[in-house]
Amino acid sequence: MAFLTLHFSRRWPRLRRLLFGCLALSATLLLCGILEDRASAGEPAPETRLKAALIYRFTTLAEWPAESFPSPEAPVLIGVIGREPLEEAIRGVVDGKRIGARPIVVVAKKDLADVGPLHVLVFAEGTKEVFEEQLARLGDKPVLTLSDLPGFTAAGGMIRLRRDGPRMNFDINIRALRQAEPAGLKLNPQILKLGRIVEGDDD
Amino acid sequence: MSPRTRAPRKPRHTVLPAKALLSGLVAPFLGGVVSAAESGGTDLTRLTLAELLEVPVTVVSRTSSPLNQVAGAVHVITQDDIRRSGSQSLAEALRLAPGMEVAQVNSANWAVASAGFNDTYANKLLVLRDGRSLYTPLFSGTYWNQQTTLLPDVEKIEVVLGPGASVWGANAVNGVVNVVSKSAFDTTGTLVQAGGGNELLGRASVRSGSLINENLAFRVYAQQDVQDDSATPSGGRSHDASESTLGGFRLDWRNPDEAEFMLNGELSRTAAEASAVLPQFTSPYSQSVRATDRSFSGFILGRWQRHFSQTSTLSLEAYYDGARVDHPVLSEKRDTGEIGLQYVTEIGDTQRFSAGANYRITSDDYPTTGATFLNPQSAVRQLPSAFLQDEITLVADQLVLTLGTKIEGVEGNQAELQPSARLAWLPTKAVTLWVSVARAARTPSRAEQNASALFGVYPPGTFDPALPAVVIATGDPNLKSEHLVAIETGARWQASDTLSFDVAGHSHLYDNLRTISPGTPYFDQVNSIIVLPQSPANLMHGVIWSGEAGVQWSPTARSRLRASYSIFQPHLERDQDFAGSQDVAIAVDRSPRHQAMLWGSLDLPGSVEFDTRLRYVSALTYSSIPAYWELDARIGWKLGNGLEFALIGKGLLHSTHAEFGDSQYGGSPVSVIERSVFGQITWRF
Repeated sequence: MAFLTLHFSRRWPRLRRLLFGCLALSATLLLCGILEDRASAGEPAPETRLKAALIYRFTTLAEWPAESFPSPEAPVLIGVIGREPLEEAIRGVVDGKRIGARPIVVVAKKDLADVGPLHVLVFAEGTKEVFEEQLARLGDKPVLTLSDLPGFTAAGGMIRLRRDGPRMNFDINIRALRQAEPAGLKLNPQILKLGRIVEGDDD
Repeated sequence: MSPRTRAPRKPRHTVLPAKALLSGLVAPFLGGVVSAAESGGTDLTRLTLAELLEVPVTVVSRTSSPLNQVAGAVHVITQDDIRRSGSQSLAEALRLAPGMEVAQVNSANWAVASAGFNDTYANKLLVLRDGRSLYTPLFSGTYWNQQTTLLPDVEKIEVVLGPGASVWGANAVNGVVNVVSKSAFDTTGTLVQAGGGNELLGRASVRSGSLINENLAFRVYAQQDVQDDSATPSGGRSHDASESTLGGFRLDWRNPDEAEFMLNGELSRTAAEASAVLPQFTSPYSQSVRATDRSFSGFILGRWQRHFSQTSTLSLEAYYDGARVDHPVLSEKRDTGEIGLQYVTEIGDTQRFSAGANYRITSDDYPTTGATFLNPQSAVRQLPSAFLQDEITLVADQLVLTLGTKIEGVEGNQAELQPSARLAWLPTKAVTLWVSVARAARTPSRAEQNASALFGVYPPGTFDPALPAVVIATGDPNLKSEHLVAIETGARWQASDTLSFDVAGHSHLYDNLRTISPGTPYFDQVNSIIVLPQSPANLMHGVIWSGEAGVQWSPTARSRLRASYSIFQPHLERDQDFAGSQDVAIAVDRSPRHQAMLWGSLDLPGSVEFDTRLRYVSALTYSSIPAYWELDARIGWKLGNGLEFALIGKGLLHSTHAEFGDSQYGGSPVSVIERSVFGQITWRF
């Protein structure tokens, strides 16, 4: 390796100019702040906010039958059961967003006893038994169901967000999706490519 | 699913203690702290589904926000900092913490300290890795050359300047360094990393992790390093090339609401060319030997935590750590076992109480290889300790008082009581002012008590006209602990989401500092030599002022600028001075009076990262090392498909520069550090 060092040293004056050039350039860039302030996929985000963003993204990738909306400008309704931080994060994320002409509105729910019309339902609390009971009440309505809790897809839920190492991933219950298809709920096939497909019996 | 996913369901203040305990011992510091709002500049809604799945999740305790409210000088070096700085060892990464003195001694050895007393054998810094003390009782310090680590699996390094003594144990005098590894839940997938350069000739790392089920994850990992020699000041080879290998595993199990368990084991070996000058009684009175310095070490560590309710957690940690060091001057066999129990609970809304007890037992053996030996050659030392701490919220969200004490028993010494009081005041959410008073003790090391070392021989005609004179240092079993009272204060200001300031000042009042005193020369008839005995004593005291200031600014979401400055002002003196005493110089003149760093990080379009770090270290007068500026730089490309390429340059301003001189060679630097370049490719899948 000695030859490498020697070689390196001989070219040093030019290298020094180059390095100082780089330094000056980076300082200028920093000071002017001319770089666009754009989201970068590599920047870390708090987990709850990331989940909320994923829930928003799934909502934009779903389609509901026209009958499920009272009017063309009627909002897409996201119901959240339990856990305030997630509900607040979803509110924060969808604030001011629209899908076509439709605004997105978050509705907090205690349980499905007070369920009105809904397009997306997020279970932020519960166990497999609770999910089964609540999902049974939902029947075959065209509602996209989501949760970040274990046991959700096994109980018949559609999409479960889960931590996969340092990132988020999701399981998708293909059986539950097929059951909702006749009622008119459609999901962009991109979702199926990116998630882990489960049959609804494992987790 | 990881428990983090569920964490937000509990009130924050109950989640964080458990999390912090899990991540390290800063828990008692961080307790009761509410994490900052989950702001962050990125608009995630603009990302596609595929992009969202690529965004890494931040861990609440990893953000700097909770630290804003700690009553102490705490700095966290994140994984991102380690990676972007191009750091290749734990010691090197510690350069990123303002106020740390980190000097590369030669190819693989480092001298690391804070606020003075720096040495390859520095003895006032406690270094922990996941709660395990990286420590040899021989000199109460860390063999940095043996701490090979798979750096991508380090989650963060917490650095506390000043004594953390009320919770941590022996050696937490000037500072505490706690290395926190990633959980196996955060290292699923495979990482293959390979690189080479002119100094770190080659490094190959591999790690593979997977999720066995919802609550169980594991990883296995291995790394091989080959390191080139450093240079001598005259341009030759320093003969300190080395290689190292490590392999290990980690298993994490979690039942999020109830219990957590972690098991980590590792084996490592290092082999380095070592040279030493061994004195001898006959002409030519010294002999240079070149040998291989080998170490073989391993550990197994288990940690179990049980959450009894939303507000109380019990944790139990135990480990075994073994090391075999084969060195031309002194070899070492060491086995350490430690078990610790901690309980944290909240009393009402205003108090968080924690208590713990710890027992460490070390068995050592120092086979005689030459001029240095220990008497007794082997020993078993026990170190029981306990702590109590209460964190009292005097005014909600504004004023927090933390009182604590640690008691530590050492054989042959009276138990050391080490109390501390800390007060944090938050006049607004963005400002923290803190002040603390703490007492700390450093118990004598095995060498200071029991070693006998032949330091050097004066040939006939130098000390005595006819006879050789030998300098023999002998330990003193009755040596006392060194004592410190530290008064510290600091302020933090989060001026905006993108701008923050941090300043701290430390006033360390020392007493009973260890010195080396000459005894009365005598004639040894057996060997026909004059013996100049030396022995340690507790004869130095004084005050050391130090301070550090830092600013972090992100002018745009893709750029970050960090600047820091630290100052060191020692005023030590010997109780009774005598001509030629080097004690004060050795203690403080190997520490720079001023250090500064300017670090710019840029994310350029096309997934290119660019970092430059300019650092200044003032002169070390004891070693006649002049002040220097150095520049490190890194450029990284993310090529997609999990591929990443990085080019790292270090010490770019000079072809060589000296950073440290070891006291055993009279202080002059034996090795100088060469400019280096390193290229690395990383593949994650």
